[in-house]
This record gives sequence, C-alpha cells and structure tokens, in this order.
Amino acid sequence: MTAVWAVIAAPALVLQWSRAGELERRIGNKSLAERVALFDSPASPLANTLARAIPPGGCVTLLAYAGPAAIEYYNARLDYLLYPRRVQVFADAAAAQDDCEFVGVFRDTAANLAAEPFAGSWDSDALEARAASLERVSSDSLVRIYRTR
Amino acid sequence: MGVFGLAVTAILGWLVLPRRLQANPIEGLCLGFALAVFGISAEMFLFDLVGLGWNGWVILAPWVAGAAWLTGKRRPFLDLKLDAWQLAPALAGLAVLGAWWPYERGMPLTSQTWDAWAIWLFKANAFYLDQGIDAYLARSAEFLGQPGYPLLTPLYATFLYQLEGGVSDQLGKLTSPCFFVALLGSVHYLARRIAGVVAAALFTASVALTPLLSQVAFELAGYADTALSVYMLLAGGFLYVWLREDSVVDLGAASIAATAAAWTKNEGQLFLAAVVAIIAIRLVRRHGHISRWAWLAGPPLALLGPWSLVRMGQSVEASGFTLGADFQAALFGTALSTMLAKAFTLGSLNLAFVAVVAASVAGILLKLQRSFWVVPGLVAWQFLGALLAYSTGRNEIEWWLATSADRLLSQTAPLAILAAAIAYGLWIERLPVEVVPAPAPKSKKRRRR
Repeated sequence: MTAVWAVIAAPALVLQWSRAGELERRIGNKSLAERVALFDSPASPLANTLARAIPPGGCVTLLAYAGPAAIEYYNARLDYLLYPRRVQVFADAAAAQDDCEFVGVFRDTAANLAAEPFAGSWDSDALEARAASLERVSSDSLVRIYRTR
Repeated sequence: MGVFGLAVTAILGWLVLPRRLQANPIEGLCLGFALAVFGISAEMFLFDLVGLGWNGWVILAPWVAGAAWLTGKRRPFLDLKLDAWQLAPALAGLAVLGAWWPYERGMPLTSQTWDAWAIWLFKANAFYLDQGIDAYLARSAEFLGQPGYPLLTPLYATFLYQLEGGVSDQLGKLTSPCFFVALLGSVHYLARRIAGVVAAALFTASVALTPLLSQVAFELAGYADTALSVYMLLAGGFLYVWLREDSVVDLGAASIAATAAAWTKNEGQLFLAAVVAIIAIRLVRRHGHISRWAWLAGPPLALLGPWSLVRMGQSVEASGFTLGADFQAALFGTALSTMLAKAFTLGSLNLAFVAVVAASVAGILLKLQRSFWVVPGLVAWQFLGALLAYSTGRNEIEWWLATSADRLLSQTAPLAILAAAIAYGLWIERLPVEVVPAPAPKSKKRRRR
C-alpha cells in the first residue's frame, strides 16, 4: 500500500525537488536585505521609507498610482509592515487625508502596472498643486512623503 | 531564541504528557509540541485577561514547574523500540522535508501567502507590538484581516517573538513545518495504539507522502491549516480510543485536542461541536461520572467562553456562518462537484480520501463496531460543513473554491487516513490467531546423558 502511495507521490516530490533547486539558486548566499529585495519589492522598501518618516503613533494617506488589486494589496501589506501606524491607500490623487498628518505619493513599478493597469483617478497637475501646499518630509525613487500643515 | 522556543515547546510538552499514554520519545515530542502550543497560546490569552503581561520566561515557568514535578514523580516513557518498519516513515519524512527545506529561507519574504501575513501573523505582529490583544481588537475595523478568527496561531507566534525580542516572520512561519512533523508523530502514535507497529509505520509514511499536506505546511507556512489538521487528527483518534477503551486520559486528550482545533480556526468549531455531541451521547447512555462531564465541558468553556466575551466586548463578529442559512442549492452542487474532484486528485491528496471510502466499505462489509464510524463520520461532517459554507454564497464561488477547497480537504486528510488504519486494525483483530505449539522442554535426564 505504501509503495503505491510513494509511486503516486513521486511526481510531486520530483517537481518539488526541482523547485527547491531553483529557489536555492535564486536565494544563494543572499543576505536578508537582498532576499527582501528579491521577493517583497516594492512593498518592503516602500514600508521602510514610510516607517523612517512616520512615528509609530502616526497616520499616512498614501496616494497610489497602482492597479485596483494592488491597492487592496498595498493597503493590507502596509497595515502589516507599518503597524501600529494607521495607513490608508487610495488610487485617487485627490483623496482626502482626513486627520492623517502625513501624505505619501507612490507610483507602482512599471512591471506591476503593465500586469495590472491603473484604474483610479489621477490629475497630476492638481496633485502637484496639492503637494506644493504641504511640507515635504522625504523623497526617494519610490515615494514622496509630505506633512500636512 | 525563537528557535529555542520551538524546541523547548516540544520538550516541555512531552515532559508534561500523562505517562499512561506511553508515547515513545519521538511521538512524545510531537504530541507534546501540539499540546504545548495550545497550552501556551491559551495561557497567553488568560495572562492578558488578568493583566499578567507576556514575559516569555514567565509564560514558560508553569510548564517548567509541571515538567519537573511530573518527571520527579515518574520519568517519561523512554522506550523508543525502533525496528526496520520505522525506516518507511523516516525515509518518507526525510524525502519530503528535504524537498521542501530550501523554502524555509524564502519563507519570511514571500508576500504571496496572503492569509499568513494579512490574517494570522498580522495579529501576532500587532499583539507583540501592543503587548496585548485589546488594542488590535479595538482597531480591527481598519484592517482587511479576520479579527474574529481564533487565536492559537497568532498568540503562539507572539510567544516566539517575546523570546526572540522582536517580530520575526520566519519564526511565525516555521511553526507550520513543525506542525507537519508533529502530524507525522501523532499519526504514528495513534496508528500504533490502534493497529500496531507495522501499520503505524506504513500509515505514517502515507501521510508524509500526501503532497498537499507538505505543500500547505511549507508553501503556505503561517496559515493555520496544518495545525488544525493535527488537532483534528488527535481529537478524532483519541475519541475513537476512548470509545473503545474508556480511559479518562483519552477522553481528556480528545476534549483538549478538539478545543485546540476550535481555538485554531473556525472549521475547528464545527469539529468541536461534533466531538462534544458524540461524547455527550456516550456519557448520557453510560451515565458518565461527573468528572467525565467536567473533562468534556471544561476545556471549551474555560477558553472559548472568555474569548467569546472578549470578542463581543470589542464588537468583533465571530467569523463563520450559520448552518443552513442563506442556502443556495446551485452553489451546493458546484461546491460538491469541485470538492469531490479535488478530494480524489491523486497528485494532490494521493489516496487519502480513497482510503476513507475503502475503510467505510470495509466497515459495512465487516460490520465493524459503531466506534469505528466516529472517524469517517467526522471526515464526512467537516466535508458537509465546507459544502454548506460554500452554499451561502458569501464569496464568488469559483474564486472561493479555488483559494480554499484544497486547504479544507488538507485539514481532514490525516483523519481520513487514520480511518483506514482503524479499519485495518479491526480487521487484523478478527484474523484467526495461529497457535504455534511451544517446543517441548528438553528433559534434564537426556541432557545429562
């Protein structure tokens, strides 16, 4: 009986051995930071930048140029990575910041946008005018962070 | 320190196991891990309720004291008794763990396993940073996770974070592979008690070689399904043994394991309801002693009662559904055909559900005793529960089935295999015992001559 079981399981095990080999080749001797860049980008570097600018009790409204499913993903992922900060992500450049003291402006990677195009509301000129009225706290290739005055 | 926490969980759990279970050291570490994960998570919940805080060493203190006291009274069962048959599960287990192990380095980084971080480890993260559960529950409306889900997985991960001194995804996720190993040891223990050493080796190897089980444990590390499969297996197995042998230790083990299942995931609450009903019927029929009623009611009431109160106090709804509510027959049909197709997909669940069907046919043909039907009955009960949940139409059915049906089946697959072990055990009990005449003692006179 067990021999039959093993024969049936063999293809799945062989496939998994092959996937494991592939994973080992990708991971190699990479450090944790390098593995993060490989597997959890851009959410993790985005969260790191936000975490440096926003104190643990803070709140950020993230205006995100990203596809609809990506918005849900970033909402959940940034909740996880930035807890206990409050995070709200919108695919709307005019979204209200309510009582959040920080506003972030983020554009998803080209690859992600190609896979899932933006479907929200984004007036770049209006966004720049809005940003001009805010105090810029930090900026990198992923996200610009502003403090509301 | 977190990995030390995983190891010490298994060791302390083993040392506090009742000696009457006679689990060998490997089985004992596996059963002990399952027991102590449940115990530590329950302890953390109760510590939080009474404001004791969550120092990792303080949490371990009662376990160390209990282990020392019990070991002083009577040393644990140390007889390993390995024989050639044990090579089968050992090789199968090593082959599977070897195939999956590289995944461990990718575990903390994969953001694909949505439920792991968005539900289970998010809570662990929040509980650790808040040093309590109330702050997260109070804010739960902000998050996409399921705040009403039970707390075994997040609270045990929080315990590991306490020992580690920081949040560590990898540690939280490593719990799933540990539960996979605990699953193998638990199957071996139960099958050995029920059907003997050879059957234990073969059925344990079969569980190890069921691809979906290792996939859920590693690829979906951080999910609660592997833990749930262990507790369902233990509850069903100990329940069967109690019905046969009527030992209060087995009754207690069944009740604790079923409570642990309900403390792990909502499907476990449906499972607990069935186990409680079966035990209660037996106790009513046999005029069970009050102590047995206490073993039945104590664990669920002591833990799930306060959890319900805390949840309601924070206006957090229990995630789940009401059996029979919003029933849509068309969805039931879709779910049934998909679940059956998945259950009998050999490349995924191997022969696990074929085994429970074969065991049931054997049960009918051999007119096996009523206690046998408890285990296949629990498998069928969970299957029906899943179908009724899908029939509510709370989510788009195709998406819902695609993202959860495999995992639901993985929860009961070990129990399905255990049903076959029980049928096998009952069958060999009926085989006529061949009487081998003992050799006649040699005469002393002849020896002298």
